[in-house]
Amino acid sequence: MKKIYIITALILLAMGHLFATETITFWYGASPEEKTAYEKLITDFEKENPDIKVNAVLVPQSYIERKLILSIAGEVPPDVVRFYAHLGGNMMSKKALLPLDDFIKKDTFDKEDFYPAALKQNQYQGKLYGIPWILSPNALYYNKKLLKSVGYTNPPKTHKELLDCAKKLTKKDNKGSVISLGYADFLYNPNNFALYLWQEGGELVNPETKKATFNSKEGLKTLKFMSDFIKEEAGSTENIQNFTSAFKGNVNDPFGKGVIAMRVDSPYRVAIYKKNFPNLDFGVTTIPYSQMPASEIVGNSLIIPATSKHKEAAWKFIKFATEKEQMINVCLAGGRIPARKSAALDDSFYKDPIYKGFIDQLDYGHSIPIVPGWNEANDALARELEKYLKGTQDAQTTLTNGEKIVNSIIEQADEDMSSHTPVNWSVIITIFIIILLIFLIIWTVYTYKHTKPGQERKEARDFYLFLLPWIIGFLILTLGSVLASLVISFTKWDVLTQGHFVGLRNFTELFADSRFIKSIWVTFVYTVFAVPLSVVFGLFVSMLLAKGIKGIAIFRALYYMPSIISGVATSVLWINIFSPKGLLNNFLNLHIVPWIENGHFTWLAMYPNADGWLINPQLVLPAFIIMSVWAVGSSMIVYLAAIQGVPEGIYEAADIDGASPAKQFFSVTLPLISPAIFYQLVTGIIFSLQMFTQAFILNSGTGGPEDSGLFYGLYLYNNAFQYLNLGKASAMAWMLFIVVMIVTYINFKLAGKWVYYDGDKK
Amino acid sequence: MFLAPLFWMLMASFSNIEEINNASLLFIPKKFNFENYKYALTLMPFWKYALNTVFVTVFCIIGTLFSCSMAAYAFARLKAPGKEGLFLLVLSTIMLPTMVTCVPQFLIFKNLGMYDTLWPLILPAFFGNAMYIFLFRQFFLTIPYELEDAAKLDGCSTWQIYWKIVMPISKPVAVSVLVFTFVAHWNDFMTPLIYLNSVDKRTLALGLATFSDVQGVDVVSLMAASTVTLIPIVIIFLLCQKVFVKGIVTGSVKG
Repeated sequence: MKKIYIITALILLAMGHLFATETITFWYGASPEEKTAYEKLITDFEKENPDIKVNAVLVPQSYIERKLILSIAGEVPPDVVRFYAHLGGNMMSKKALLPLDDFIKKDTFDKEDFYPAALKQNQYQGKLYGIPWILSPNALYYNKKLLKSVGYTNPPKTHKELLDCAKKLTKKDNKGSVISLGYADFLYNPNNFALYLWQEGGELVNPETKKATFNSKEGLKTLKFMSDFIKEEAGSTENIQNFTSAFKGNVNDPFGKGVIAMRVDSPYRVAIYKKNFPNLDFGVTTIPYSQMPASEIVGNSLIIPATSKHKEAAWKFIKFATEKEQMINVCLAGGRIPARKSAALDDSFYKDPIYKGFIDQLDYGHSIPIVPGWNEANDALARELEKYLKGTQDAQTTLTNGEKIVNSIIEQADEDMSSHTPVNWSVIITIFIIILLIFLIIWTVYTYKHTKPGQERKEARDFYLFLLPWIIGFLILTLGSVLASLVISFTKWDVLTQGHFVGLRNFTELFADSRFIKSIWVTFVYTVFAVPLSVVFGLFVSMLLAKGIKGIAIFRALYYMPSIISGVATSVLWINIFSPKGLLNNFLNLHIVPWIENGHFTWLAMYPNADGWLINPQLVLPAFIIMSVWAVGSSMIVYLAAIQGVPEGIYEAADIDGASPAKQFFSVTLPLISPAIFYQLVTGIIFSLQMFTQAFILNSGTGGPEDSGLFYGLYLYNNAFQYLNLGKASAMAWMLFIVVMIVTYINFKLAGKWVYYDGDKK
Repeated sequence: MFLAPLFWMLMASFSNIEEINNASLLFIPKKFNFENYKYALTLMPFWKYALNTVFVTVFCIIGTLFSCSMAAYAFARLKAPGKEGLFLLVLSTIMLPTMVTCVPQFLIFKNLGMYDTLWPLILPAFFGNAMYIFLFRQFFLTIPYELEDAAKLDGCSTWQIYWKIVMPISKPVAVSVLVFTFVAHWNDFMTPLIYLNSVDKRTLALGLATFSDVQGVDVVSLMAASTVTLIPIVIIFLLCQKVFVKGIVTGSVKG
């Protein structure tokens, strides 16, 4: 009998163990095609490890970093993330990721099978923070037909051949603008500079000393190579940019359309070309070089946040997912290269000539520097390179300035903060709550004392009752975060680690920062033009649409559309409008230019009519102002509501008095809807000072040419989420806050002179 | 200009990928292709997400309309010491950029135990929005006092005056706020992105962003999905805009 009991108990125990599953959360970004491969990976893993469940969460790829930072700060991290290795520099240096070396040692994980360049990307100060998984090495895409047409049956192998071939394939129209290009990878983006620097044997930053190393003879040679190439091929960088800016998006790809013959890119384009351009005959090969082959590797690794609660299970998943077989499946679905040599050299990849082109580059792979602060350093270096390639700064100055800026940014990001006072949030919150309670008591007593009993006190009570929802929300949500950001503005804080007080340093540093000053200027100019224009235009449109004519609903909806259509469709529109041969330039060339040539408004002839609006630094702001006027839809709604409130009787009276429509508009409608105009003015100023979304989308998160579209809100965002300088971002926010307060206050003071309230008891 | 993006979006959603390649901004596909829509609806659990979105949006609209109009009524009509200071405080909350407050706010909601729930999306709406408080207040200020004075003499409470007299004549402004709130919450994907983790709690905008982001998805199905999500907004707008029709204006209101 006893035996049975024991056996039953054992069985129960075993079953209990069987059912005690652990759930790990896995974040990844994937296309619909890849999703199936991921689902299979997860079911296979769960089959092999019945005690672990995987909760797979599909996260938009470009926001995965931000979501990860917030979830780490909020102590609700996922357990495994598919993450861009090269973005990890900040995270690794802040110890937000788990070093995997112990696991590797314990499990005798065969690290040697991985490409060294890929491993290097996941390393910081000797520790490995991620296991390389899916690689996207760069290689040269070339259009076979085009190359053959100029005698290149084999793609160019050296810089000399590349230039020769590119020159033969570059064509210009009779006005001198480029209509097809041989080779186009000369952006201000330091990644292009890095590629040619590696080919010369140079390097951007030494990861050990964390100092810039590009101010060298290799650096000089690289710059000279780039500018000579550009001059010989297309004349100037502007020519190249004007040409390429007309193509954006996968369906409109210039290489796919056969107007660019060669380009450097990663394998992700292969699927796009095969899908969108079925007739394109292209090959992929090693990037031409003069000294040594080199290629940038962008990799997706699997990482574990340091605060994950299921580290062992997470590691088991990583180990499983990075096995050769799994890697092959996932990479095949996404058209990428596996990080294991054994997988990459497997027949399913290496036999394919296109994959082979990429895989051959892996032995010469490099990575952008894995140092703290690189995101910010990268943007600053881009500005210097832009000056050089546009010919406004010589090569040596570019390298010297670039080195100085990069070093100081890295130094700051890597600063030892132990001598500063750490921020102790629980103390701050306690103090804050005590002050708040005292303040609330005083406020109540004050209200009580300053109201007479009876009607007046009852009205004050009603006032607060009506305001109660707002007050609760304000105290819990707004006030807390507003004051927190005030405290943060006096600290150095990266969200991931504890903040430290630095006094006024954020403010003094900002005023010494030329990009900050530029962002103030850009925002100021934009506000001065955009706000009055949209207020007036919105009013004009609303007056037209206020009438109860049949079919007017359609028109109203039309004008409102721009306010609600977002994303791809709108950007397609603006690219179509603002590109060098876009609608706007076509219109101007067709109607305005001949008119100017006939002697009208000759001062307008300054307008450089061949440039794309988003390429020419002088035209970027006007383009943004045009866009702001276009989105009048939401102001229209406010005006329509106000016009609706004007009593009929007044118009009838005015009609009887024989007032003309114009007179009626100016002396009846305008004063009566002035509160709505005032509202538009105040909120319009606030929003344009905070302007962010369009600036972010149209210049893909950068400041645009020469930072001409670097709005204050954009720079603030970059500081907060790209550079992880929450302290600086908060300091910027508070300065903006104060400026907006002053402007709004002035607005309210001036309002007494022109805003008419019917309810006013005069 | 105003029609072009909509037109492009609609045409793209019906066309096939090769057509869009070489097309100009205004193009019409040779053959209207409904496959894109079929495919787009399988990209994500469409109806599930639509339900979540409707749920969030409806609550946000109710919350916003109540909390904002009440606060605005207090500011426009009721007297209390310190009112001006408080109003400035309300306005000042518009001015701090969300990028800065989003980190502290995330921590607050997380500590309230609301991470990965729909509450962070809905709750703020019930606490009033400074923009709309301001908008309501501007409108209330133009209402003549006489109406309320009469009601007061009849012995109506403040609530009764607000609910029975002021709100009914404030329909145009309430509708504006409704449209704004609807659009803002229907399209918002940042808040759901930050606060939601579970896949089945997602909203349409977030679902859409998840796919528009990867390279593999083609523009045509994306446009089809976007068009479908846009339809409710257009319907709401067309329904609501009737309120703006100015009765029998004598045709004299010209700009």
